[in-house]
Amino acid sequence: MDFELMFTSFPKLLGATIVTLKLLSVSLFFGLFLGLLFAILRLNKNIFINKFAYGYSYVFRGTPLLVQIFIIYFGLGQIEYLRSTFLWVILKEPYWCAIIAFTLNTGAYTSEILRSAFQTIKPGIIEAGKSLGISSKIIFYKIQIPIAIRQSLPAYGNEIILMMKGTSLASTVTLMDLTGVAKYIISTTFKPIEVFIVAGGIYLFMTFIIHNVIKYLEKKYSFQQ
Amino acid sequence: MYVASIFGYFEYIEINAFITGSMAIGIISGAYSTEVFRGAIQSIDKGQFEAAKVLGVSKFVQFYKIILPQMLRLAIPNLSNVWQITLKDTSLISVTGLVEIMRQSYIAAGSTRDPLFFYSFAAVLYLLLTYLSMKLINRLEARYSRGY
Repeated sequence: MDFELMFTSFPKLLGATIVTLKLLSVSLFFGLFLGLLFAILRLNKNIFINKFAYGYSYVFRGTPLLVQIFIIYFGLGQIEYLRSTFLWVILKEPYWCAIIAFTLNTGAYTSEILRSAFQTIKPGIIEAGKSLGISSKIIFYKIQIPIAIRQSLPAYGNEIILMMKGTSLASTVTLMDLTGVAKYIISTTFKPIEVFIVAGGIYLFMTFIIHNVIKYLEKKYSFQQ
Repeated sequence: MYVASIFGYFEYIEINAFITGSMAIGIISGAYSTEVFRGAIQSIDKGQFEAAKVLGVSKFVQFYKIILPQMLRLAIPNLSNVWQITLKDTSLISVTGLVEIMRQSYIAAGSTRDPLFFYSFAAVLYLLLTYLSMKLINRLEARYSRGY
């Protein structure tokens, strides 16, 4: 064990953690909206819209995140037409490719989580809103969505943690996130165990923080209060 | 290698990539399954444990003949989630150099310069695997929830 290396690599890895957190927060932010959109589409009675939303979530939940990143980063650059459009400015950057892949992936999972939360809302709550003469639009935005978000907090917390671990795949498309920097240090020092223990510790600490924040939110917004 | 050097062996040790890969994936999915089984055991009615105790069934038989069969039924839906996660995690083994779907398509994409086709094909293969395994698991689930 080379403890000195562990101490010297710690600040470098901590700096790379910021990239990981940036990737995580940006993709979760967009993914939440995408997930909410597709969850609403899944509840739509129109069979085509419904099947489209189902297909989206099925494809992105049925294939590994690594394949999705590779298709977006290596695959889309192959299409000549895309290279001539403004999209190429975004798609040639590994950072944005990783964010697109993460957003689409987390969006698919989030849509499933929110859909099941919408479906478990007791019909009595909606009926109560109706009998009070509240318009169905306001029932949806002010009653159904807040309840669904509360219901899906535990599952969404898991999704955040899974996504945090998923961001380590960004290192495969040459992004210098936590795993990327760890790999770089290893390639110069040939000491994988020490560096990966420190990197793993940082990931574990982030999981710990996220877990506790979600637990706090669950308690704060529980129905008993 | 570090452990071997204590015993005076300084040569390079080659560990089979397949075995290390399946060990790593196995340990991870084992951790997920632990949580699933814990949840399943906890959701079994307390009366079952008490009834077994009253009948004088030994702890061993109680677990294998009473709790385990009931627990498995409850665990199947979550185990299928774990199966899906594990199936997709196998793609990560490609970074260690083991030739599986992902590695093979990486090689093919590199030599033919046609990444879009090969990665999409890999995606379709994974999709097919999840589809088929879900069909199987659904049948299993239907079979084990007979009578409920």
